[in-house]
Amino acid sequence: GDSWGIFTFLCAALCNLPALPALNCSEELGAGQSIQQTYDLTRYLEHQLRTLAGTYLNYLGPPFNEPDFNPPRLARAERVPSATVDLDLWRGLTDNARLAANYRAYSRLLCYLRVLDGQVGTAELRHRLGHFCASLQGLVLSIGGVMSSLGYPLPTGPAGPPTPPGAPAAPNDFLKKMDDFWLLKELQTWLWRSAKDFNRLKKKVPPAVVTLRLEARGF
Amino acid sequence: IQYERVGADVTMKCGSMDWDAAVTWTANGTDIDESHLNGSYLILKNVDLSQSGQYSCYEGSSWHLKYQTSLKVGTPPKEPVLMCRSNNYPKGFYCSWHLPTPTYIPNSFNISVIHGTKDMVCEKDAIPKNRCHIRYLQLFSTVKYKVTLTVTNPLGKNFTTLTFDEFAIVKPDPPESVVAKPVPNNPRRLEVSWQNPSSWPDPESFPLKFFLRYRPLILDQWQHV
Repeated sequence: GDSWGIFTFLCAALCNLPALPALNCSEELGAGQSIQQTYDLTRYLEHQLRTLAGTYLNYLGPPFNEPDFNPPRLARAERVPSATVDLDLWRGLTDNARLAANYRAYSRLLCYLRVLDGQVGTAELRHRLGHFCASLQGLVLSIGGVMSSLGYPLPTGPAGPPTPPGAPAAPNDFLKKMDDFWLLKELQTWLWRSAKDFNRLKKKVPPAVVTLRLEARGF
Repeated sequence: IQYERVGADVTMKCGSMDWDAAVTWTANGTDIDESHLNGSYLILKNVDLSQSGQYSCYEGSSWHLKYQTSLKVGTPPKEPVLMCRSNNYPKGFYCSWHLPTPTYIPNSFNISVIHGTKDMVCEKDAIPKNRCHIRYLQLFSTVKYKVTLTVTNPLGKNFTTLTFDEFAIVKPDPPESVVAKPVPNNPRRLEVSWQNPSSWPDPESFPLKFFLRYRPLILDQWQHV
């Protein structure tokens, strides 16, 4: 159904091949390699974000672009699922939960970034943001692909409206900039965390998973 | 004990003796010349470190000990040097500190760690002394850590602050057991082996990446693997 469709698209995109039947593709890629590619994507995005954040924070101006800027977290609605987690809890996450947390977080982060994209002033920023959003979209698809190849259902839920019902939009310019600041911070922290998440997944998804699937298909 | 700053002028009174009483002062057992006296007061101008020691005052004829003090000449602390580092990520991090110049008198250090609104306890290490460690309660935090170190001694105090993100201070220890062995029957090859630093608790989830460079002794240029 839907998950196979996504997986095929992912295969085609990453393999640079015409859309092959899903069966042949799973033989070539396997969950292990998809995880490696997802890991590589998070590192690439982390690198991209460094430049993007620098430009964007300069656009926001002081104090947001000061390296020591350490504001308190205002009591506004939690817009994005936080990457922050208890150490033992994080270690004990099942593969499904780990992947789902990443999928949900980046889906929502992507939404907020797209809203930002529609608002920023300079052409340079629009260009950088646009590029970053495209890469982030690739990451979401990549994670979705890994989940599908492992047989996990994709998380459903609010992927649309960026503002949860009842949460007020920023009442003034400064608070709006604070929201943007925290959005970039959350993104930065999630990318830092995801590399570790996918490292754990790399070790835990054994080649046996792929072999089993091949056997089931009679290869 | 009496603490005084380097360069200060020190006046010592002989206990409850009157100004015009006849007294003798000694420094570490050696009599002090009368030129340093103002009545029965001992005047030390522009003191330096060599003048630290035991000062005693004796009544003129009876040689009764009327006053004794240990003078320690030193300086108030300069701004301390503070460094924090996580060599055991994700377990926690440690902070270590020192004074850029010695004060020559005893100093005490107080360290505070604030994470957002929370106060965290930095447990002092027995060895080395100027170090304490903290355990992470949460991973992947968006909130910075703020560490303030205050140093106090009898002549004054000073402090310094560090603010950083969790990921900004991660720095593993160097690899261990680095061995380079010649390869038999192949004089142009070397086999280099090493181990993860033992302080790195979880190389499975947090793998380390290694970079190797080498050069023959006769050349100055390094080559990279």
